[in-house]
Amino acid sequence: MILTTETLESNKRFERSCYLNLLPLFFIQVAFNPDEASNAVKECIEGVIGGVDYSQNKVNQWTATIVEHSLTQLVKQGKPFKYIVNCAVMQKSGAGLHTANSCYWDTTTDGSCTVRWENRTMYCVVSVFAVAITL
Amino acid sequence: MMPCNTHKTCFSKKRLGHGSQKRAEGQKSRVTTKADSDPKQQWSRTKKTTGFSQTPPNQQAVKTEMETPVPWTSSLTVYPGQSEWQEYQTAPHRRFPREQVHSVMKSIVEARLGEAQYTSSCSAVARELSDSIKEAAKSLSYERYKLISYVAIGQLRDSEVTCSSRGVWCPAADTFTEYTFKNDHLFALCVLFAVYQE
Repeated sequence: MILTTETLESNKRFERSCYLNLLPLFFIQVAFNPDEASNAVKECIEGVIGGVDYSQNKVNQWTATIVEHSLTQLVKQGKPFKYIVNCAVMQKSGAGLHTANSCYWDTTTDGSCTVRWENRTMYCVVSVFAVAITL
Repeated sequence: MMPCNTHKTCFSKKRLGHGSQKRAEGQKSRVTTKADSDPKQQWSRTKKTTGFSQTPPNQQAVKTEMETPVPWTSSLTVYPGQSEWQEYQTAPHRRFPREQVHSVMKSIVEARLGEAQYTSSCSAVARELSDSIKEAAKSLSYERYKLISYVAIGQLRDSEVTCSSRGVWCPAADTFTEYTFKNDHLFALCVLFAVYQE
């Protein structure tokens, strides 16, 4: 009888410790990691327009593909964020382009990153905005 | 988000972020009917006991009672769009107004740029524009919406610019507005994303 009660007690303790250990998992809110996101986006850009020259016919398809692939890679990271990816591709012809963004969010959890890429014939600027989902 | 100390409140998911502040401000009251000293209520009660089950006319319910925290073990019915606690509002009460924001963006950009030329100072202009658009959208006071404003100003020359964006979000609550401005020397693309904080 004594043995059975002891084992029951130890089981209870084990369960309780598991229960308490799981608690922090529900409440850790990860901050956005811009380096990881920019690496993923750079790979997507290289994969789509890596060694090609600017082509007016294909540029719409390129921007759509870059954005889709970037989103897929970001979502694959499995973090609790809503993402917005913005891509601008511009032909290199001497014209200038300025982009700016302003955000109203929670700076502890949300973040953004911008990736600038260029080759011989075009510029590509991709901005990623990540807004945390509170669990 | 601050982690809870007691396991009871943790599992009820109550004291999280904004919810904890709202709780401190004033507990939400729930409307219930209470058969107390209200004579009409008593009438219905007495009628019920005698077997007569008609409700009296002009019965006005309503005594509000303050909610007490519900232990996590009890069952809870949450209706879509409503919640006992603010944290469970997965849909906004008011959706972000796209048309209104579009007209606001248009007026801000046209006032700022008008007949402006493209110069190197356009980077500061782009930053100013994105800030002012964001502030204008913020002043509309749509609660629980996070705002992201994006502005691109480019020179009008023999070059093409293609811009596309996509998001992974909740289409019922989140939205965006865009406005494109063009004059003889430059173009400006302004996009405002509004993401609901669930």
